[in-house]
Amino acid sequence: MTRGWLVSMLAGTGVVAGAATVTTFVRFPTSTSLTAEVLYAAVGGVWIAAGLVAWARRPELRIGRLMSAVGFIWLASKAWWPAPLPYTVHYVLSGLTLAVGLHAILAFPTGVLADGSARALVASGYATVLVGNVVLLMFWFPADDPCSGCTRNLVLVDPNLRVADAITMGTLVISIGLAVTAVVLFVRRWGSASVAGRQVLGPVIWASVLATAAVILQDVVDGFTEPPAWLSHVLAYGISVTLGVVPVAFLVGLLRVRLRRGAMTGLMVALGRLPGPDGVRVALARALGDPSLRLVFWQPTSGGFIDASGHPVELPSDDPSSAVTMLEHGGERFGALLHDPFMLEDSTMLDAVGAAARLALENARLQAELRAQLVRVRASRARIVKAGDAVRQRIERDLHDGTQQRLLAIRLALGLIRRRVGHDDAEVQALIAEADGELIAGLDELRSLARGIHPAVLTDEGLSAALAALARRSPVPVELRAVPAERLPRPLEAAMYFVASEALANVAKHAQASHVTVTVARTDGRLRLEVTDDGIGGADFSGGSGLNGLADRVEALDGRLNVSSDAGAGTTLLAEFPVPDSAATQPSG
Amino acid sequence: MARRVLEAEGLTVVGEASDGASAIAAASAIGPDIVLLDVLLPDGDGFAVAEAIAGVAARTRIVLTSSRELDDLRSRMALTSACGFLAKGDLSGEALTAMAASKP
Repeated sequence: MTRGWLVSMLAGTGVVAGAATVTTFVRFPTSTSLTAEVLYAAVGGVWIAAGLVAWARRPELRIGRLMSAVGFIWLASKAWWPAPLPYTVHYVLSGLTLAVGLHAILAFPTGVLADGSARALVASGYATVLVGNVVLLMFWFPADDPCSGCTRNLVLVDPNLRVADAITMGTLVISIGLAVTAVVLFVRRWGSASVAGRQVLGPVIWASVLATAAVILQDVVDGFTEPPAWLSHVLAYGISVTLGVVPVAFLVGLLRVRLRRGAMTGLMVALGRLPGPDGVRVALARALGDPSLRLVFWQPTSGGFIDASGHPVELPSDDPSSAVTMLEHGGERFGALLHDPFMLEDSTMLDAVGAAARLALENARLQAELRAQLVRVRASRARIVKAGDAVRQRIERDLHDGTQQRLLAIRLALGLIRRRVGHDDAEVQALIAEADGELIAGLDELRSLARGIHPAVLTDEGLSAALAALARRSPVPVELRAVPAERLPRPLEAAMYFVASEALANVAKHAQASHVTVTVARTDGRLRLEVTDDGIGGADFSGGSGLNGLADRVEALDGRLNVSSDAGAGTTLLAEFPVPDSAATQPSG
Repeated sequence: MARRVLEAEGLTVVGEASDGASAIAAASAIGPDIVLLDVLLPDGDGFAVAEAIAGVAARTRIVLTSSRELDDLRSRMALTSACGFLAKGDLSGEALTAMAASKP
C-alpha cells in the first residue's frame, strides 16, 4: 500500500471518528454542550489533518505520525457512551492525549526526542496519566454522573470517594509540576536554538507554551477552587482552541524553512570574495544561521569524506543533533553538509546552497591549481635560466680550451717561423707580421665573444672579481661600492653580472655620463644591485632593449628589475633579489 | 710548442711537469732559474702551486702564464710571489727572461 493511500485512509478514518464523537454526544448527552463537542472534534481533526500533511510532505520524519496519533487519541477520548468498556477506555485516554501531545511537541521537528531531559519528561507524562488514571478508576465511582446508574468502569475495585479524591489531587499536582517543567524545557530549547532552529521552533514553542499555560490554569482552577460553570466552560474552550493552534504551528514551522532572500544575497556576496574552503563553510554557516554547520568533501579515491584540512570525516548516523545533506552536481557527489537538523531539507534552498558551495569550491580549486601552476612555471623558468647558463658556460670553456688554444699555438708557431726565416726576407717577415696581427685581432674577438657568452672570471672567482674586470673595461669610469667578497648562488651571480654588464654597456652607448657607480648591498635578506650614472637620463627601455631579456632572468629568481631615468637626472637601474639564508654564502669552487 | 719556442731562443728547458704536484717536486729537485707556470692546472690552482714552489726553491723565479687575460686575474696577481704574468700568445724566451729579471 502506498503512503498516499494510507494517508487518505487515515484522513477518512479521522472524519469518521470526528463524526462519531459528535454522534455519541447526541445519543448520550453529558453535561457539555453540542458546541463544545463540535469544537473538540474539530481540534482532533486539526491534529490529524496537520499530522497527515506533515507526513505526506516530510515522510522521513516521524513527527507527522505522532501528530496524527495525538488527534486520534483525542477523538477517541471524547467519544464514549455509557457502557463499561468505552467508558473505561475514554477515561484512560482522556489523560493520555496531553501526554502524547507533550511527546509530539518535544520531539518536534524530527519526531525523535533529542535529549535525556525531554525523554525523562515524556516518560513521566505517560506514567503519570496511565498509572494515575488506572489507579483512580480502581476507587472512583462516578456517583454524581448523569449516567451513573447505567455504567461502571471495568477496573473498579473499591468505590471510595476519599481515596479517589486523594489520588486525583496527587495526579493533579504531579501534572502541574510536569507542565511547568515542560514550559521551562520549551523556553530553554528556544534559547539554545540556532537562527534556523528558531525559525522552525518558534511557532511550535510559543503555541505550546500558551496551550500548556492554559492546561495549568485549568488544572489549578478546577483542582483547587469551585469555579462557576461559565468559567469552566471558558477554560475548556480556551484549552481546545490553544490545543488546536499547536498542530497548525507545527505545520507552519515545518514548511517555513526556506532560505531567506537576504541570507542568500549575503551568501553570494561572501562567496564572491573567493574564500578558501573554510571561508565557504563560514559563509554557508552564516547564511543558514547554523554555526555548527560543517562542509566536507567527497574523495572518490578513498571513497570517504575529508574536511578542509584534509582529515577524514565520518558522517554521523543516528545522531539527532546533526543532519547530513549530500551535495551533488550532475549526479556526481562532491561533498556534504553536516548541519542542524532544524535546517530541514527544502529542495529549493538546498539547490541554491549546493550550487553556491560548488561554485565557491570550484573557484577555490581553480585558485589552488593556478597557484600550483605558477609555482611550477616559476621553477621551470629558473631551471631554464640555469640550464641556459650551464650551456653558455660549456660553450665558453669549449672556445677557450679548443679554438683559442689552437690559435695560440699557431701564434707561437708563427714566432718560430719568423725566427727561422731570418730578417733577410723582408717580404715574408711582413706577411708573418700581418698574419700575426690578424691572429691577435681574432684572439681578441674570440675572447670578447667568450666573455659575452659567460665570463670565465665569474665562474672562477665570483661576482666581485667579475664586476671589477667589467669596471676596468668600461670606457666610462666606474666606481665599485661594497661588493660582497663571498660567493653567492651561481644563478644570482650570473643575473647580477649580466644586469651590470648590460647597464654599463648602455651607459657607454647612450648616457653621455662621466661617472658610474655600481653598488651591491645586502639588507634584510635581499640583495640589491644598483647602477647609477650622471648622464643625460631619459632612457627609454620599452623598446627591444637587452634589459627586457634580463628582466626575465631576474624574475626567474623572484627578483625585480627597475629603471628610473628622468631626463637630465641620470639613470638608475636597480635589480633586487631575495637571498635564501641557507644560500647566503657558498664556498667558492 | 712552448719548449720549442724557448729552445729556439737558446734557453735550456731542464724539466717539464704535467700538473701542480709534479711541478713542485721537480722544482724542488732541480732548482731551476725560472719556472713558467700555467694558472689553470689539471690538479688545481696555479697560484697555490706558485706559493709552494717559492717555499721549496727560494732562488727560483716564477712567471705565471695563461690563455686567460691578465685582466681577469688581476686581483690574485696582486698577492702572488710570482714575478709576473705572461699571456700565452706573447710567449718568447726574451719576454720570459725579461719578466724573470723584473723583480729582484
